[in-house]
Amino acid sequence: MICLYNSHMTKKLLAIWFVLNGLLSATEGAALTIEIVGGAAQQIPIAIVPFAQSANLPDSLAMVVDADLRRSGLFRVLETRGVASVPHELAEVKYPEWAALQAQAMTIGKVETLPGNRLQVSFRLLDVVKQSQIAGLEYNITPRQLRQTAHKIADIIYEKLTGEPGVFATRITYITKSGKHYVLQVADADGSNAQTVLSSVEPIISPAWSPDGTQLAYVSFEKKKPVIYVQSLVSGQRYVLANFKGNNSAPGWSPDGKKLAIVLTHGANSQIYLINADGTGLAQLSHSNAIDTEPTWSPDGKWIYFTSDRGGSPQIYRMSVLGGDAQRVTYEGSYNVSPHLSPDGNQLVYIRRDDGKFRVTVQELATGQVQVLSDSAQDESPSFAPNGRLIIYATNINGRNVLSAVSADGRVRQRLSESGGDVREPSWGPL
Amino acid sequence: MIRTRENPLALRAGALSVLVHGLLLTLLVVSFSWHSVVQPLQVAQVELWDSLPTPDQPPPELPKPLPKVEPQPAPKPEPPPEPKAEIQVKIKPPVETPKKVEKKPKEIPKPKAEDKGQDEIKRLQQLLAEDDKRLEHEAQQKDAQQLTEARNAAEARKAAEALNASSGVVNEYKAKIQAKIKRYVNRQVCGNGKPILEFAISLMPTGEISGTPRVTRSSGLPACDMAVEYAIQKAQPLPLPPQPELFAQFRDLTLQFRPNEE
Amino acid sequence: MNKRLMSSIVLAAFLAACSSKAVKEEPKAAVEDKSPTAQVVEKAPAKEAPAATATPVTEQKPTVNPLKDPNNILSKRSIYFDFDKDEVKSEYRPLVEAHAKYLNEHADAKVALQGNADERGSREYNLALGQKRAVAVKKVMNVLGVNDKQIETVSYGEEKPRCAERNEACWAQNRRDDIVYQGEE
Repeated sequence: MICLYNSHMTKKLLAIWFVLNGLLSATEGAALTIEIVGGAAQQIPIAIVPFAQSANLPDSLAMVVDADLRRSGLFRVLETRGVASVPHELAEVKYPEWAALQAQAMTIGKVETLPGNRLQVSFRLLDVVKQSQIAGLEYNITPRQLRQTAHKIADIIYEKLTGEPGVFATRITYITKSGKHYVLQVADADGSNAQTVLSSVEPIISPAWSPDGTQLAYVSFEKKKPVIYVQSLVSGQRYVLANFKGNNSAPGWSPDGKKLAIVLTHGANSQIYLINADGTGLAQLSHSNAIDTEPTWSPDGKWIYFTSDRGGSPQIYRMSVLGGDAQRVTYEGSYNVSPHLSPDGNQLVYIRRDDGKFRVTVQELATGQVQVLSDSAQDESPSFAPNGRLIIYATNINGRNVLSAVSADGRVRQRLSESGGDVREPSWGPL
Repeated sequence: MIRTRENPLALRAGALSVLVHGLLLTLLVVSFSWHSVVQPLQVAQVELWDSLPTPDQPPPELPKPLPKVEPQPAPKPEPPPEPKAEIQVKIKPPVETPKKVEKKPKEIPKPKAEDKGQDEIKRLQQLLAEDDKRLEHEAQQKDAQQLTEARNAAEARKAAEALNASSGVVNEYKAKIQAKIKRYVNRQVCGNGKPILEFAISLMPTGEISGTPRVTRSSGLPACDMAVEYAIQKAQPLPLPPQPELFAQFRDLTLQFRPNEE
Repeated sequence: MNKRLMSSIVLAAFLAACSSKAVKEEPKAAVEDKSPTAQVVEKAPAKEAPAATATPVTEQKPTVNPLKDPNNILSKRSIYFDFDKDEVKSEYRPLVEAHAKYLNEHADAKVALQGNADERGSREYNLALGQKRAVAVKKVMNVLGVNDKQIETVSYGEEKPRCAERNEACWAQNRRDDIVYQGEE
């Protein structure tokens, strides 16, 4: 059989076929694609149901978690008191009640006593819309660890819902001054549970965490001149890292913890040196006739960012740890000091003076874009939290130096609780 | 082997089939103007088939005619031409019209005309005889044809207008859905890159989602996927056009997200 | 009888002459003394004791250390600076020169130049700024011939302010370099 296709026939057949297809699509509904580009800076609505716990425990887990999540700026913690049920077990959860509250997620939990004066803390993080569990954990702890456990729970909630590590279980260091009494302290990230590292009648400044969080380097004036010490937070033992002629100050740890960058004067102007963590191997890094100070390492360990007035006024520069020329980093304004890098190395936080006001400022290193984050006038000593999301700094409110935290995008600002007295020189510890 | 097949019922079947096709095809034909049915006698090429081609089998060998087919809608449905075609070539009722044979094939059949030569002459003689029969039929069916023609034209016009209007409404509601969902997308938990997410959802006429959204393309960040799915859920009920016939286009949606772009 | 009177008068005249001699010595010793204690003064009372008519020694005890003498420029120890600056202004030149001169004349004397800054800005930068101010004063002294062996520079930054108010009057007080001699404070 030989089929000879007629061209007209062909065209008509093809036409019919395509038209039919077209009509078929129109009538039977092939999937329309809708593109949604961008979004909003939303807060995640979450309900923290009070944990079932004995009234004589020192801390309310739900309250600690609530305060942590609120402070991060990324969560809207919902009021739960109006809800009829107070579930502590999965079976007790009535999802529609929580959906009515417009919650995206919720937590439930309980604390039970175990023999030997121990506690079992269990919690679940639930997806209210999908009505399923996102995470659930149990902890076997001593009563003293209760607050720290609450911070760990907050960390897990934070990480599951934002994709970033939480910093609620980290620690901060700072110095308080009352009259002529100076105290170097280490506390939880929320400012509670403070412990004394050094107490002195002479000033203490510039505390710096070792990368593993076990040591603090700091500058003490107890010998009537600035001297750098390194102290173990585990044993309390300390040694003199640098006591050269003149000033010894501004210690900054390398990311691998093996070296520090320090500032010496040797009778002349402040210059940057590198030294091994055990005090050996001193080598000069910067060579200028100006002030070079406040050295801080990039997370990849290759660059030292520092403050210098070699251009006539203090600005931030960077140079290779191997030495060589320095490149200027800040170009806006006439006074930029106290640089610290974000954990991912992409941003620089510093203090900028504008019109006599000293303010926390963040700069995007790749683009040079600058954003002033605070509206106060006496900010100092800014540093990033180890997840890069928050910045801690000292500021002056009504004549007193207090600690504050601001989110890296400037949206949320919070005062941290302090025990009284003047608080200054904060530094955020590692994860 | 080529042979002609006699099928007494073919006429009726063919007429019905032609009517149906005519309805469908007028949608593309509206703007076309038609010359009078009666044409001066011209050489008409005819080919005989031994099997009836079905309309939904596109002849695979000739992709070229496609562009020509669409602007000049080849399947111009005209009842009289089709029965004519049927008489002449009984096996190809759905497709053939003498007009087409005359107009369009001018380009394509030319090469074929060169091939056929002597056979052509014989065929043409056959055609001339049949043409007379055809003319009689034409006269009879002229009125009927004109009526259906008019009706088809009107329907075609209405359908085209509806299509234009509906595409405008569809776009309007696409934009509404887009805006409503975007409000709830939390872009703070989607990292620093430019992730792309896709979800497939099925809607009920109320605008609510039936079943659960299906991730067809993940951002790679669980928290981001969660936040986007939450936004979709939160945006219910999605705004839908009031015309029920348009709902079909919205029943299944693909939602594509690029939360970190502007 | 007349002869005895006459001889007593002559003797008395001799005695008066002796006593005046002792008085003259003291002032000289006081001026040359560089230590706070005026050792020379103690000799005089021993001499003067028999001459009860001699002037009381206490009046002759000007043991004023020029470094602490309020009438002496050397008692001024602070050089003040403009905001964020380390230039030694001309009005303080005489002061620096006087101290340089003193150091040149007293090879055993040593000074610590203590630099300070007002509270505005970062502590470490202010520590460095205070240092820069101390170094600026040192350099002026070097030019005037003072050896580095007699000078130590140190900075307290903003950590040792003289006043605590948040105003320009106080800040101006704190932007300074102090000259402190070894053994003082």
